[in-house]
Amino acid sequence: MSGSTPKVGFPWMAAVIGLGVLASLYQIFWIAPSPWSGGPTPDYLGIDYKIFYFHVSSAAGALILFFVCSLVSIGYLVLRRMKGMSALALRADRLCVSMAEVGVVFGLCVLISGPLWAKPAWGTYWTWEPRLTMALLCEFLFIGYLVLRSYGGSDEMGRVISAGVAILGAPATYLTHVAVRLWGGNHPTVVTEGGGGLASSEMQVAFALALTSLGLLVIYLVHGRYRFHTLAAAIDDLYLDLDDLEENP
Amino acid sequence: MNPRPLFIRLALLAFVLSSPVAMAQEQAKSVKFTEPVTEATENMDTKQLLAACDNRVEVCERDAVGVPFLAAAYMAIWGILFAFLIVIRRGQRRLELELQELERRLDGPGGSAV
Repeated sequence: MSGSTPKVGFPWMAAVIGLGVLASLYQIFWIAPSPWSGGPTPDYLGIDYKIFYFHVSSAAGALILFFVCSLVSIGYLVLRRMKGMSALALRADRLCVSMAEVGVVFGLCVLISGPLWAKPAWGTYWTWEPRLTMALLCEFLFIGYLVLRSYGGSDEMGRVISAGVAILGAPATYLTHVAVRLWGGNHPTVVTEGGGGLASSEMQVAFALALTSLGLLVIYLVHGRYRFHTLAAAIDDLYLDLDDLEENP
Repeated sequence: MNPRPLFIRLALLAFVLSSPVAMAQEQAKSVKFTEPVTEATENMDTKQLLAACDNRVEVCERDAVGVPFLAAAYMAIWGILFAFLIVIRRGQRRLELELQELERRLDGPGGSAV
């Protein structure tokens, strides 16, 4: 066995993400104009509007991760029943855990930055409007998934039950995405058609940079956690083999 | 050093970074947007001057409220992400220690059998 340190993630990608984040911060705070809403009678949205760039990017990252996690969980449940696919099923399971972990972190960013923006913009930290409620529900669902993974045992039954919980994430994330269109609420539809929130090209570039850099960060972190879980599982297996050998030399 | 992987990474990076920026700029071409005047200039009449003054007051009052929340939100986002990176690093450190422990046990009596 080699004593080399397991690498988590790509060092070059970390440098790219760092540069991307710096570029987006520069674009947000120095280039993007003061935030007036578009339209014939523009309203001043306040400098706190600049929370939007990383708030929405984090939300996109979290929701995509939760949704894909649910789909991969279905994949896990299908693969575990197929002959010769158990290794692939375990990979899918590890990918689910990695995505749930990173998704919960980004979801936490959304649920903290959102109320901090809502207070000056809406006059209150929290309202039980549909999208906020659904976002909170998604976050709790995947925190529950991770708690189940941590304390529900790492055997197959634990994996199956937590995969079942993760599957519930797919409709929950979809409903979070369409909540404003279905039920209304305080959230504007800034990015989708007809929103008009990103009025200038500088704002659109700032949003694109924030979205891209956080998207790369999501991939980087999921990859890092996936490798971590793979190595941890391999080490656990080695411990078990070693214990067997020491007991029955 | 083989330049091919580096070239592939640079090409991938250029694609990833340039496509959303290009898309955003393409979309922006169709948007007509004029930001309200908040600065007084010499050729303004009284009505325009008052409107600019009103806009300026609105901006200052709103920003005085918003700046602490903006700072708190950015600190929260990056604080959470850095805390997560520290947790990952600590987990990685734990794996390294477990690998060392395994090596020690493999090198010990009976370990050569493995």
